[in-house]
Amino acid sequence: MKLDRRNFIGSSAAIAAALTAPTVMASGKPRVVVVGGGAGGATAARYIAKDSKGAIDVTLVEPTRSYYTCFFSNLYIGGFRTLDSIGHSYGNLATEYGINVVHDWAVGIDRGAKTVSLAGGSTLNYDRLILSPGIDFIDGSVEGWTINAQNKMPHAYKAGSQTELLKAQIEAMPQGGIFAMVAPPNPYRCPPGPYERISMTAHLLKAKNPTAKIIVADPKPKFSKMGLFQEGWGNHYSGMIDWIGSEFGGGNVSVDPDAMTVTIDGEVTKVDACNVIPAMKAGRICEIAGITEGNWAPVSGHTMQSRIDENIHVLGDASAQGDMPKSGYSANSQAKVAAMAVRGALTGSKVFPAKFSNTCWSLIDTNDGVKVGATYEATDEKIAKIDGFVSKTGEAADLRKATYEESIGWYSGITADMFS
Amino acid sequence: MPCHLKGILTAIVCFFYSGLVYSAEIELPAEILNIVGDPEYGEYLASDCKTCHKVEGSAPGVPSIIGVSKRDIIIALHEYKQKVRKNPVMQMMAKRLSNEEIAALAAYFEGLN
Repeated sequence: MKLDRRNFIGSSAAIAAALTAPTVMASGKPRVVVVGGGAGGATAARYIAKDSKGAIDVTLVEPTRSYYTCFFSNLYIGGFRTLDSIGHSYGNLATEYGINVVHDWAVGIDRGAKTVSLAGGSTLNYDRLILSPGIDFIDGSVEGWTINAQNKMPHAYKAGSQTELLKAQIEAMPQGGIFAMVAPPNPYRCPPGPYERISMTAHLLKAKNPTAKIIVADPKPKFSKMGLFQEGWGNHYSGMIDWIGSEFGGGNVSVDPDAMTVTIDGEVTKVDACNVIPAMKAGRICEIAGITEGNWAPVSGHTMQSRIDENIHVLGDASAQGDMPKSGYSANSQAKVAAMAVRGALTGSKVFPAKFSNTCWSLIDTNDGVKVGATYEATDEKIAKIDGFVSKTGEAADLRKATYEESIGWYSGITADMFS
Repeated sequence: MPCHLKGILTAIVCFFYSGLVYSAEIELPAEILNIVGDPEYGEYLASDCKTCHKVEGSAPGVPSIIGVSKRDIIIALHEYKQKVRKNPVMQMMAKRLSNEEIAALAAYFEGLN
């Protein structure tokens, strides 16, 4: 990695920034700390380090050494991907871009002193802090379920060992057994995710356990790509999936992980595997930082800066930004806007108007891919949707196959954009 | 392949995409083709492309856009904008790009060749 002197001090804008930010420049290179190494955090750290060419000191705090993407983890459940193929290391971010990758948990933030304290006892100073911690679960949102029950009834909504466990439990179901999912209320990470998971579970069961049944208890009356999923379930898994929406008591649900029962609107069912996806909130570090309102951290769409502390940017699932869904693609898109804003603030580099986009692909069965996408712009109020599209029901098989293949290309592209 | 005719470009492009072939023909005035794009702005706009299109190598299902000529990038994006190319993701991405932004993207990608 080269430090380009012209990029560091060459522009008049950079000199102007230096004059207006004496405390930053006096203490040496400006420092950015990024908490969370997923689609938001890894992308932001990579773009800031790459584009500032050594002018900004970037530290990435991420507890895991191997990061398993939540996106495509359903395809692992369905048998379309290996777990290894969705795991990524942070080695390149350190070696190619000089990012200081710290494998630790951020446990405290002092906004006055501008420091982040780590579980290991260290303290990091920042000029700008980027929080991209993803989601945590709301205690008590599914009666009978706590995080202590996550081995009996996995959430599998943070990918890795939980995903492995859920897949193993589905594969261990007796012939003709019952799989239940408790779906989450809005807003939550990856709107089509639970329904792609149902599709992938059905795909797995169809091959190995074709008389098995799937029950979904859903607190919502409708869900992302509903028509597409329901058409696909009818085409591929006829009679296997029973989706119970809020109008039929799907929101009135409790579980007993010890007895392996699910009670939906008063009716108790003994199940053989159960995926509980609780209600969600911003990763806990946002609450610790004192930048949440309700369950999420409100941000300005122009820069992804917290509306409570302008020295903090919040990306991805944890942010309350407006119209974008909570997805890896969205987090990656927001990270680039934040990276540009952070560089502009700290080095005087040019800042262009924020542009955002998102596409979510889902796999229903072999070569049956669907997608939904939109573009967005920043207004003073929020990130606002401009335009969008969604796959249509009844599409030709070759188009669905092309959509699936496109999703594989996207996975390769976005993970390269995060980690390469 | 594209050819000039009195300042008007006629482009006939075959797009190979996931086994599907789309043929398209559009006409772009010289004043659009000749806009001088800002590569720095193009680099920012291109970050949107890199979510799917790899800078190094390619992946199945998403074609490489590295090594494509400036003119072919301009034509391809205008074809998506005019919906003569069919991919809905690309139509959506191109729809919001101005002529100047398309020129900026082409200027940036040309610099990578």
